[in-house]
Amino acid sequence: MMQGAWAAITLGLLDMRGDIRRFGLLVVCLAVGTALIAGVSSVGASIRQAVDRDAAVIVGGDVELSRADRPATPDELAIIAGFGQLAAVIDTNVRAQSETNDAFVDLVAVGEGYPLVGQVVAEGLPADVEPFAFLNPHDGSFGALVDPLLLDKLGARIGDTIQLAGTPFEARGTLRKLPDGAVRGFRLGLPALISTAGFASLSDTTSPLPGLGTYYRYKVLTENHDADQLRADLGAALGDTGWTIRTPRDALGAMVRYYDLFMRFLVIVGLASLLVGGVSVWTVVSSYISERSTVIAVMRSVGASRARIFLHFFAQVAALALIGVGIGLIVGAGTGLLALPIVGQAIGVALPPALYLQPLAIAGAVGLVTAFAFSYLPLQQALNIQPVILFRSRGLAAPAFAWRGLVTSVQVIPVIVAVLAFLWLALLMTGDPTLVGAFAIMSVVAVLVLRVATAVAVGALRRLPESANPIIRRGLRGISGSDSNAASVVISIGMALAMLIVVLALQTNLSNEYLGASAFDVPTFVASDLFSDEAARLRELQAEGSDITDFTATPMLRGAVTAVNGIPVGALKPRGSEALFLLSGDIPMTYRAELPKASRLVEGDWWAADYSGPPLVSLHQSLRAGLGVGIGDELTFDIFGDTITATVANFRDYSWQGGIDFLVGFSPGVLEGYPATLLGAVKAAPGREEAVERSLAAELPLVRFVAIGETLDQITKALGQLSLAATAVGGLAVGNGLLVLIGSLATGRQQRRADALITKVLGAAQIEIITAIALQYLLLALFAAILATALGVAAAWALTMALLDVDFTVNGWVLAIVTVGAVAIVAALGATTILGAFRTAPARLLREL
Amino acid sequence: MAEAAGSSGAGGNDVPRQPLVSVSNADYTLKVGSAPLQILRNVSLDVAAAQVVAIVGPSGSGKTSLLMLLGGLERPTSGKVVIAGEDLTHLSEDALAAFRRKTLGIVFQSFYLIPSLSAQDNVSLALEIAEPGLSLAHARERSAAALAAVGLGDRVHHRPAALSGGEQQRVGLARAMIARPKLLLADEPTGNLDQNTGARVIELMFDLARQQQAAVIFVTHDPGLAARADRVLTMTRGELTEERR
Repeated sequence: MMQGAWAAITLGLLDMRGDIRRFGLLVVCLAVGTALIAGVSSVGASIRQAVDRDAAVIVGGDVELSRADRPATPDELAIIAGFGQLAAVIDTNVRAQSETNDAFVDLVAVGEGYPLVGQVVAEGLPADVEPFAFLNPHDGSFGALVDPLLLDKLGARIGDTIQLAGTPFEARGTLRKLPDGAVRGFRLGLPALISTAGFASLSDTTSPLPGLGTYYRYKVLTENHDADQLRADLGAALGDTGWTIRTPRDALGAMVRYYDLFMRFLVIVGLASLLVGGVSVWTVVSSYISERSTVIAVMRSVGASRARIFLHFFAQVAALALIGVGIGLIVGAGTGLLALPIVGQAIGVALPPALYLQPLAIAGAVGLVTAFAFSYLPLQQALNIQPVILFRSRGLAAPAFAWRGLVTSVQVIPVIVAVLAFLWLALLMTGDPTLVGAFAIMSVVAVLVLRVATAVAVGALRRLPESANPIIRRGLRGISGSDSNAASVVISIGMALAMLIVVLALQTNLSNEYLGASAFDVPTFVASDLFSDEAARLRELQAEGSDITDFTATPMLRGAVTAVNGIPVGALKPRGSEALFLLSGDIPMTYRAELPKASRLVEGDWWAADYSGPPLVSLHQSLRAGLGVGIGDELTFDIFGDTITATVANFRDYSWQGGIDFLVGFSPGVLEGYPATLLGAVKAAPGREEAVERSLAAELPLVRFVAIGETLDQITKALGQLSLAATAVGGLAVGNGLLVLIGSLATGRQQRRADALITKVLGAAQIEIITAIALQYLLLALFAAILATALGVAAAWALTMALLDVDFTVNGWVLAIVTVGAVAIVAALGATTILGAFRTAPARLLREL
Repeated sequence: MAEAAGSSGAGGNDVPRQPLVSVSNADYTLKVGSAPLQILRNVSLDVAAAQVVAIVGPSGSGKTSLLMLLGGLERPTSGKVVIAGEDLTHLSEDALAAFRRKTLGIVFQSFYLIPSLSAQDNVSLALEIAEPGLSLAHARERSAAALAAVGLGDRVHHRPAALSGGEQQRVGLARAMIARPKLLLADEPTGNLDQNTGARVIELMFDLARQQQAAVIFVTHDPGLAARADRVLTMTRGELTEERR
C-alpha cells in the first residue's frame, strides 16, 4: 500500500514538470510571508529571552521606582530599603561649561550602592570601587565621569575642572557605558555621571529647556528576584503616592516601544502577506486544476478514485508549499541572525545571533497550514471533474464549485481545522488575541464584501442593454458572461490591493510616529529666556543673509498648576513623566494664537487667531492619560500670584522636537500682560552649524544656546533607520502583493487564450481583441480597487487605533499612485496574457484546445 | 421499432447465455435549458466476452452517449446497464471508479495523453491506479513491455509532444489495455489519424483484445473499419439496430 502511495506521489510530482514555471509565484508568495514571520518571531523571541536572562541588569535592579516632582522622603526611603538593597539615581539635563565652550548634558547622579547589578564602564574608574565613592570630593570638588565627546566639546581633558550647572566638577574619567543605560531610552545631551552628593551641590538645577524635567529613580534588588511580587508589595507599602514602579519588562516595554510598534507592524505585514499568499495559492491552484481537467478526466476514466486524484495533486501542492516555506524559513532565519546584533545594539540589550527553533517551527507551520487551507478547496474541485468531458467538451474550465454541497458535508472539516490551526499558530506567534481576532474578522469581511459586491455588479451588468461598440460589448461580456471569472479576479485583486493599502497606511503612520511631521526641520540651537531685543537681533541676523535659515521665538513664562477640575494637585494621582513634571511646581508655559507648524492636533480644535473669550489651554497629548483629563476639563494655575482657571480646548503632539516644547499653551488674551521671556529656536544652514554657533556667541554673548540639533539628529537617525526598515518591509509586502495581482490573472488564462484565438480565426483584428481584454481587466481592477481602498483604509484605521496606538493619517498620494499603478498593471498584464495566442500558429493552438 | 430492433439486433443467435454487456431498455435524456432532449431511446444490447462490436451512424445520433453509458460515465434516465455482472445504474461514484479500474479500458479520439509524462509513465499511471499496491518500478517495467507490444519499445521515454498521432494513439491503446480490461471502449479511435495509420491502430487494437479475451465496442465513421468487427450496430436518432450479415 505504501508502495502504491509512493508511486502515486512520484507520478504526481512528475506530472508537474511541464507547469513548474507557473508555480514560481505560489512559491514566492509563501516564501515571503513565511520569511517575514520567521524573522520577526526570531527577533521577538531573542528579545524575550534577553529580558528574562538580563532582567535585573537591564533595569539596574528587580524594580525601579521613579517620579519627577520630588525625591523620596526619608520615610519612603526607609520603606523601600526594607525590601532589599537600594540605590538612588537622578536624571536631568544641565549645561556644562569649560573656560572656552559649553555643551548640553544628560546628567546622571548616582547614590551609594549604584550599580546594584552590572558594571559602570569608564576609563579611570577602578573595578572594585563604587562610582559614588570614586566621585566624592577631592580637594574641594566633586568628580564626574564624562562622555569622551563631551570632553571634546568642552575642549577639556581628564583632570580638568568643568562646570556642571554652574558648579565645578573634576573630570575623573571617560564614561563609556551605564549598565542600565538601555531603560533610559533616548536622551538629549551628552552623558555625564556624578554622585547624588555632587548633585546636591549644583547651584542651578533649573531645566535649561521647557519639557525636560528631573527624574528621581530608586532601584531595588531583592534576593529572590521576584519583580512582579516586589512591585505589588512596594505598591501596597507606599500607597497611592504617585510613584511609578517598573519591572524590567515594563521598563523594556517603554524602551522598545518603537521597536515594539515595528514588530507589530511586521507581524501584521507577515500575516497579511501569508493571507494574500494564500489567495495566490487559491488562484494558482484553481486555474491549474481548471487547466488540468483533461488529465483529471483521463485519470478518472482509467478508474482513479477521488482519493487517488486528491493524492496526485495534493502531492504537487505539498511539494511546492514545502519548497516555498523552506525558502522562507532559510531567509527568515538568516535575516534574523543578521538583524539580531543590530537590533540589540540599537536597543542596548545583548542579542547574540542564534537560531530560535520554536518561532521558526511556528512560522513554518503557519506557512504550510496557509498553503493547505487555500489549496484544499480547489483540490476538492478537482474531484468533481468527470471523465465525460473527454467525450463532450464542456469548455476548458473546471465545473463550477458546489459551495452548498461542500459546506454541508464532511469535506469542509479539514478547512475548518486548518483555519483554527492558523488562528492558534497566529496566537502563539503574537500572543495577542485582539490582533488575531481583528485580523480574522477583517479578512472574512473583506472576502464577503468583495464577493457580494461583485455578484451584485455582474447582475446589474447583465441587465444593462448591450453596447453598440463591439470592443466594449466583448469586454463587458467577458465580465458578465456565464463563464466569467470576475468574482475570483476581484477577490484576489481586491485582497492584494487591500493588503497593500493596509501596509502602506501603517507604514506611513509608523514613520510619522518615528519621525514626526517635520522631522527634517529640527532646530540646530535653542535658547530659553531670551529678551525681546535679543530675539530682534536674531531676526536681523537671519534677514541679513547669515547662515541662519530660520528663527522662531515663543513667549515663555513660568507658572504652577494648582488644581485640576477643582481638585488640588496634592490629591491627584498623576501617571507618567509628563504629568509628574506638570505638577512638579513652576514649569515653563506659553501662549499662542496659532498652532505651531511642527505640532499636530490630536484631539479638540485650535482656537481662532483673534480669540478673546474665556481662558483656554492646549495640553500635550500624554496628559490625557497622565492626568485623566479631557476636552472641557478645567485646570487652575498660579501665575505670578494670580489664579487663572482655563478650560482644556485641545491636545497636541510635538514628538519631532524630542520634547522641547511647552506642555501647556494658553489661548491669546490671558498671559500677555505678564512679564515673559522667549524660547528661541535657530536653524543653521546644513554644514554651517559651527559658523552659526561662533557668530551667535559673538553677537549675543550673554545668551546660552544649546546645540540640540546633533542629538535630535541622532534620534532622528535611529528612528529613521526603523522607518527605513518599515519602508523596506512594506516594499517587500507591496512587491508580494503585486505578484499576487499578477497571479490573479492566471485564472481562466487558457480559456481567454482559446477565446482570443477563435475570435482571431474568425477575423477579428488583434488590436480589437487585446483592447477588449484590457478593458475587461481594467474594469475589474477598477472595481476591485474602489472596494479595496475602502476596505484597506478601514482595516488600517482599526489596526492603527487598536494595536499600534499611534495617530492615523492616510497619505492620499501614495495610495492613489499604488492603486492606479496596480489597476494599470492588471489591465496591461491581463491583455498580455493572451499574446501567446497570437505568437503561435493558430493551427497548433487549435489542436491543443 | 427501436425496442424491437435493439432487442432483436442485440439478442441475435450468437449471443451466449451470460453476456459481458447487457443494456436493457435504456433511455437517456438531457435537459437543454428547460426542454428535455432525448438522446437514446429504448436501447437494448447484449455483447459477449471477446466479441468485437462496431457502432456506426451519423453525427449526433447518440453513439458516443451509448459509449458513455457503457463506461459508467453517464447514467441512463431509465433502463439498466449491466457490465460483467455489475449493474452500473445505481453504483456510487467511487464504485464506478472501481468498476472502471477492474473492467474497463477506454481509447479516445483525441488520445488524451498527459503531456508532462513520458509514454511509459502515461501507461504506468493507469496500471498504478488499477493496482495500487504495485511499485512504480514494477509498473514501469510492465508499461515498457506493453509499449513494446504496440511497437513503441524505443519510444518509452518520449513525451507525447515528441510522438506522431499514430504513436500517441498506440500509447493510448497500451494505456487502455495495460490492466487487462474485460471491455475496451473506443470512441472514433482513428478519427484523428490517416487511413493507413488508422487501419494499423485498429489492427493492433483487435490483436490485443483477442490476446486478452477482451470485448471491444468502438464507434467509427469508417465503414471499412466497421466491417472488420464481429457485429455492426447502427445508431439512428437514438435508436439502435443491428446489421444482419
